[in-house]
Amino acid sequence: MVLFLKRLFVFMVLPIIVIIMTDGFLRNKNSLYKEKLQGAIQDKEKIEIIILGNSHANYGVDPNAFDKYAYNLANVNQSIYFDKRILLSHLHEFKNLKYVLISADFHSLYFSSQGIRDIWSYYDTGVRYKNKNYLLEDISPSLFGYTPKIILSLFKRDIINKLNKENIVVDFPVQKGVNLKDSIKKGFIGYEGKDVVAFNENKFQGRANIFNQKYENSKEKLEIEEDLNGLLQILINRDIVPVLFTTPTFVEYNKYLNTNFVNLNKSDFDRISRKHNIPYWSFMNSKEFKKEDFYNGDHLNKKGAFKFGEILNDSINNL
Amino acid sequence: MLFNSLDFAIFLPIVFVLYWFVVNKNLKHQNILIAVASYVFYGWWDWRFLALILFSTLVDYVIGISLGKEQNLNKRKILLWISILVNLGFLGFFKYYNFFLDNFKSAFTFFGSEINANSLNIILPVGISFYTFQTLSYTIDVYKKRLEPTKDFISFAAFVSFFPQLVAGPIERATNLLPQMLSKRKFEYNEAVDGLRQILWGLFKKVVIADNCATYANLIFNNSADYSGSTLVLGAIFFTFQIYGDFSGYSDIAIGTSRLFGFKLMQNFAFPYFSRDIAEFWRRWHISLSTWFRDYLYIPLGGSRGGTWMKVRNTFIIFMVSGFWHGANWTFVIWGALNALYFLPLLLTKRNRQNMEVVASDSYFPSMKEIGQMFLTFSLTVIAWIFFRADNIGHALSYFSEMFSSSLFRIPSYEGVKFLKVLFPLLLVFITIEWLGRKREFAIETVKIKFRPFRYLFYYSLVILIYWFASENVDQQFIYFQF
Repeated sequence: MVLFLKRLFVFMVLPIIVIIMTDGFLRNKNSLYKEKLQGAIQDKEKIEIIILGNSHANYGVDPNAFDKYAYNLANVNQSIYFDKRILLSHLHEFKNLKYVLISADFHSLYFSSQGIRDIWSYYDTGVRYKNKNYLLEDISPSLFGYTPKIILSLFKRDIINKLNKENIVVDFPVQKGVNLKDSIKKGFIGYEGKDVVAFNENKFQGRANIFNQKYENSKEKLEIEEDLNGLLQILINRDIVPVLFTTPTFVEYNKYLNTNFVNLNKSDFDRISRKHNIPYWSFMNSKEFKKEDFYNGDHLNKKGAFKFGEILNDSINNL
Repeated sequence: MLFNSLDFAIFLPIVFVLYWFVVNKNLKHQNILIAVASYVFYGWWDWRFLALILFSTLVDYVIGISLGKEQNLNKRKILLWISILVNLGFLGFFKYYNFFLDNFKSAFTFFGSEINANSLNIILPVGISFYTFQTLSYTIDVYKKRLEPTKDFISFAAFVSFFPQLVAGPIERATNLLPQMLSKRKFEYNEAVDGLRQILWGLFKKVVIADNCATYANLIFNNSADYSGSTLVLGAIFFTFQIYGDFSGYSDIAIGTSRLFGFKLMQNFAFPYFSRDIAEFWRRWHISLSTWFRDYLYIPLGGSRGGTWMKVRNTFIIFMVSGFWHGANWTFVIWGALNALYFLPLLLTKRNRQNMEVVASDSYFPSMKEIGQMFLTFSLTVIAWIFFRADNIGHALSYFSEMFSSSLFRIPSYEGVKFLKVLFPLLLVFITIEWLGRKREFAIETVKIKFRPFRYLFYYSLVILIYWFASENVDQQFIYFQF
């Protein structure tokens, strides 16, 4: 038995060391989530407009196009659930905040979990998903938090950074299409040009179907709407104007979205905005946006994001 | 509790430490620990069904003792039948009630009359088919006087519920496992190391091979109408490896875990896809079930001793019952019947025992003839697995009709399959390791790498692959849990 345990220990030493070192690396790594939030906290006195939402807002609204000091706190897959909690955890610090732009997309009322990215938010912004217990994820990020694929990509980015003496923080593979050497300005980093592979009918249809299904299978709508109403009320009570907006999506992509769902969604957001007496602007089928403004069917590129930023800026100035 | 879960990774070391360091001096205490641990292991799914195992254990324990005392043949027969009826009654109710009801209703409707009976919303207790057969083997062996009944209830309860093989086998014979429960176990270094190695290989088979194949097999079977014949062939091959990796992987983990506790379970899979004919395949596939049916059904029916008609009848009975054992669906029965059809020509021409040794037992490579035989046998099993995997007979038939259409000759390609980049290399490595280890009980039983750091490197590679794919393919259950 002694020999067995001794050999087992010898065998386990290397993996244990690797796990401890990897955990250390993961706990100290920077990320887009952390970077954006820290940037917002740094600029807390200046910020007048905060943009919340998922990837559509993250890549689609350039805060640098606003006259007022705007900051993009949206993130890939970030649902209203996370928008609300990330903002509320620091709301008291944004003394000068006047407007909060909340992305109200086709699917925003229909999902609250970011899937695997819930844990990324937890590590980098401290927001827990509902009453999920994160004990194991706290014990070891490498065993129970990040997937091996993500860990490898983080290592790869770290090594490239060290070799090139750079400090690129966009370290998740979800940032395909982004120029990694771009610096994050006011929380914004945009897509370059166009994803040629994804810009065709088949891909539009495939992606639209994902959202159609999400819509069809979701049972969360009432809960999410209530959550959103809570956020809107808190902002209104603080004399901050919440604005709901739907980002532009490419017309050829839109035709694959279920029309009934699109109409229902629009009427839902109209109803919510009337209830709170706040603006709701839908740019879903806006003719202002041409093919060259899109990175793929449902995301604007840098050019489109700046154009959209300008439009939102004008709309806010006209309020 | 799943073998490939964190719960089990915590549970196993705790039980191991308690077993060898706390209660190691007292056999009775060790058996109590096994029984309690087994009930915890099983109750992790659904504690309500513990009562079922306990009741089954009590019935067979009491009947066993009564059979030991009773000399009157008629009374002994009654006792045996009580055990059979109780055990098969539970199995029949939980597993087959709705199936028989639906088929009766269909039959009555076909003949123009209606019966009003509603299907019940019955949850199938995990592993019921396995432990039912295990307890039955005890009663039958005691009845046949091949085994003395035990008076030690704790040991008997530990035998019935032994957690490594409780929910998906191997279906142990009382003659093998019960005597081990009743005798002192001592820790054997080599057995424990072999056990760990077998667990590692079982996890590799399950997490890396079966779960990856499952992703593609499920995609293709669930959308079979959308794919070309060539892709459907690929789907059937994926499923063929999935079911082998899944089930034999479970068996390896079960046997390996048992070894850690000083128990030797029977081999359940002996590299079946290297078989040269179907008879050999069935000597190598799910051995514990095949031999159970052979000993407790086929031989009592007369086996292959009678005339041609008797042989044909018995062969069909054993294969179809075996199919039906897997699930309450006609697809399983057809799968069994198809295997009977494959097997019969060999039996009738007395060539069913021509390949008793492992293929290429004296050489590294098989001969051309052996390659041809293995290919044919493998192809036949792939075809049979389509029935096994299909949702219903209609699905299986449409799968076949599309598979053997002109699109069979198209290049199999569709979105999402990383066949060339991921699955193909993994399968190649897997088949190579299995081939190299085919003369042993499991493929990596002896790793012929003498330099320990290199040997560890090989094990680490397996661990990394398991770690990698465990997070990729979450929530993949073992297929045989549903049986």
